[in-house]
Formats: sequence, C-alpha cells, structure tokens
Amino acid sequence: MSTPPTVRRAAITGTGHSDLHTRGAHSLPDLALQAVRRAVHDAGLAMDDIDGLATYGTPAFPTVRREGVNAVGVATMLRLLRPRQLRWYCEPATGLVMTSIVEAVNAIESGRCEAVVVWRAMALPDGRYAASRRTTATQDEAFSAPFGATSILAWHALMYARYRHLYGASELSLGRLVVASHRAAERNEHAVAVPRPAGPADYLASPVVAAPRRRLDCDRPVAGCAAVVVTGARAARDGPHRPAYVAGLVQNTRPADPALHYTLGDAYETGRAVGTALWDRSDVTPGTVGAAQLYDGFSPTVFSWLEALGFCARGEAHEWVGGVHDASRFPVPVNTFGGSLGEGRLHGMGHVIEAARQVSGRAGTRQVPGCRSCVVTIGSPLINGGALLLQDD
Amino acid sequence: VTMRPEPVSDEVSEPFWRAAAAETLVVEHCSSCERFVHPPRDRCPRCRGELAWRPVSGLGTVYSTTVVHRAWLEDFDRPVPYTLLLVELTEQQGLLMVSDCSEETGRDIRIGDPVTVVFERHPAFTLPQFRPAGTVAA
Repeated sequence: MSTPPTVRRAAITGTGHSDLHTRGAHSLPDLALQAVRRAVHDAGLAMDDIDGLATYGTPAFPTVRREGVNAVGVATMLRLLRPRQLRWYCEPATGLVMTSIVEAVNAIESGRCEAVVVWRAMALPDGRYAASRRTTATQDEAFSAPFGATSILAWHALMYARYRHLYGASELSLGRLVVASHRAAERNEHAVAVPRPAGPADYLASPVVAAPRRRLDCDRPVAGCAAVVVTGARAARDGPHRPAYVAGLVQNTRPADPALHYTLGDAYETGRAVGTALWDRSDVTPGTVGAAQLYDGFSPTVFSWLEALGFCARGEAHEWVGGVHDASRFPVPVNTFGGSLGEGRLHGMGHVIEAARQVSGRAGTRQVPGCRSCVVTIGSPLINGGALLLQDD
Repeated sequence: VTMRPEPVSDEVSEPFWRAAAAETLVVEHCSSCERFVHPPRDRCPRCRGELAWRPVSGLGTVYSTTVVHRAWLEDFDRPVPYTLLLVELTEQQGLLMVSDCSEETGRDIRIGDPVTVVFERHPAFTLPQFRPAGTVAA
C-alpha cells in the first residue's frame, strides 16, 4: 500500500554560512547574524520580509548554556534583527537541527508565516572540551563513569568495534570515507580551513581516540553558524532560484530500549523505521534519489544511515563507501560538501544547506549532474534522529 | 592523587551496590515479562511490571571492546591507554555491563571471549569487573 506524497507547500529558498573558525575569540552573535543575513539575501528577500524565526536550545557542547555568549537563541536574534514583520518564533529546549526545520515547515504550511529563517549557531569552548573531573557518578552514569567510560565516543567506539567484528570491515573502511569527505570539502568554499588527510596513510597515522576510532572520525568543532530560509511554494516560485521543496520530513518516534546506550541493532531498527516512513510517502526511492547528505558527527553514523535508508544491505556499507565521487562504485553521491567531517561541525545544518543547493542546481563545482532530489539525515538513527527529503518539484 | 568517580546509589540502585560490596552480582528481573533490566529502573520499562533483584551467574561474553587513548577523566586511576569491555551476560541477549582493565590485560581479549565477574574493592565502593574466564580463580 502506498501513501500519496505530502503536499509540497514549503521550500528552502536561501542558505547562508558564517565564516567558520577553529580557534580564536569570535562573537557568536556576530557569526549568527552573518549567516542569517547571507541566507536572507540568498533567498532574494530583505530582513523585513522575515516573519518567523526557528532554532533549538540544545547547547553545542554539554556545557552550561549562556544565551548571547555560547548560544544564539531567539532572544538574541530578536535583539540583533529587530524584524518588523515578525509573527512567530520558536526554540524547542532540546532536539536537533531537524526539530527546528520541522517547526519552520509547520509554520509555513499552516499559513502562519511566509518566510522563516532557521539557524544553528555553534560555540567552540576553550581547551579540551571532552575532559572532565568527576568525583561521583549518579543514576545510569553510575554504571559507566566509574569504569572510565564517560564519553559518548567510548560508546560509539564499542559499537563500531562490534560492527567490524560482525561484518568484517577493514581498518581503512572509515578511512576511505574520511578521506573522501575531505576531498569533497576542498570543493566547498564554506568549509573550515584545516589540514586535510591526503590519503589512507594520513588517516592511519592520525591519533587513535578509542580504538578503532581516530580523531579524524570525529567532526571538526568550529565556531560559526549556518542558516536557511523556508518559504511557501508561491514565494519559492517567485524567488531567484529553483526551489528545493520539502517533500518529506520524518522524525524517529521509536522508544529507546532500556540500556546504558544504544546497540547496533537499535540503530539499525530505528533508522530503518525512519527510512521506511520517508520512502513510503515519497515518489523517489533509494535507487532514484539524486544524492544523500548523511549525518557524520562520528563517521560510522554514515554507515548506519546508508544501511538504514536501504542504500545497501545491513553490514555492507563499509564495503561500499570509499570513493564518494566514483560513480561507477557508488549508487548515490554521499556528503558531496564534505560532511561535518570535512566542512565543520554544524550539527547537520551544513547537510541541509548542501541538499538545498544540489536540488537547486547551485552546488557549483560540487554539483551532481541532474540532481533533482536529495535526502538528508540528522543525528544518529536513534537519538532524535530524522530525515528530510528535498525535491525540485 | 588518582581516583574513580564514586557510583552514588539511589533508592532504585542501592541493592545493586550493596550486593556488589558483598561480592554478589544482582540484576533486576521483571516478574511479568520475565526479562532482566539493566541499568536499574523502578518499574519494567517494557511492560511496567514489578521488578525484583536476582543473583546472576556473573558469566558473560565480550560483546565489544575498545582501547581508550585519550584521558577523558582527569586523575582517573587507570592511565591511558586502557581497555573498556562491554560484556553481555549469559542470562539474556543484550544484557550489557561495562568493565575496564589495563591495556595489557585487554590485549588478548577478543569479542566473543568468555568472561567472569570479579569484585574490585575501592575505599568507598566495590565495582563488579569482568576478566577472561580462564584467569579467575574459581
């Protein structure tokens, strides 16, 4: 049984990046304003055309959130923009980039707003942000922290080690993905300027964080902001670019099983449910979609999504990832902008922007020929994960 | 001075830590759906059934392992690199517990290897740890 595609009334019509920095003191509100202004300008609009604002409140790092300092929420944006036509804003306290995209699309499709700007501002803490001094561990953490398992990285490493064991992934499986992401990032003018691995040897020479996970398997933290403008279909048609219509939006709704954290099975089953919900309500399939921008805060998450979305069978993604731009080997171009690994850690807003630009035919030297649809996934499949499908009609 | 974060027991988890201090491994078990639950909960998260603590065998297999090279915890009493083990208890598929050991001990441990619980005493608490089955005195 097939369900008709959702009525397409919202589209992403403008995108904007701030400058992205890896060090130094930068005003996060200034960076956020830069990204928002660029997105609004890119949409062919003036700031006074914006009548809705959407972001979400989860801090960029597990630190104390300081509005206007290490976070830019609605309160700061209102002060910066003073938009005269504002009708609506929202800032869910928790969630992911997809949460604020969903809210913006809802505001457009309900007729509440005509042009919503969505942004994600990322602060970069001083020092070693992952190190902590802990004398006690409470609740569930009492069963992991006393053993030295305090980082989410430890859990991801344990799960990827299990994946390698089950499916025979080589030490270089992730390395090929990482290197390909950095190659793609070289063609992305917004990507953060960092030394990039030239090939597999550089990957294998990079520091191990938690075996088999290396530092290069983690996205590159940046200070910066990325923003998009979402409008209704009429404004999109009248805009300066081919619109990227929102053709599908799925949030994970499966409950998490009781556990210290997720297992490979949880990730697959949950992601599979997201993928099924996306494709079932769409007229594209994994075989016909033009490109895929898959969340890569940690590189193995790309494997999870490739398998969960049905681009390949479970356990096969590692065989298949390797040459992102080698069309003869790759059924779909993945992370054509370099992903968070290569562009910088924008919690998935970079993925949304690349999808919009590919569908609009505005990806420059990265353009996938004939790309008329693009799928985006945000988050690990389990944790507030979701998927977005953009199409040009 | 090196240390470990002290597990703080609460009204739900207190029996686990009290049993560990007495060198017994206990896990909550649901009287309704007959499944073990870890970490501790006040009711069964699947069916809301009543939970009761049960002694378990302390036997398991290595579900996964990683060598940590980065000191996430300042002054942690095990210097990097050290090994983390995720152990699946024999009582139930997917019933996982975390353990740690030195990189030297962990070097020969593979996924699927049998392990046995041992109790590691610290001044203020006792941690259930897992070691290769052949190396633990019966």
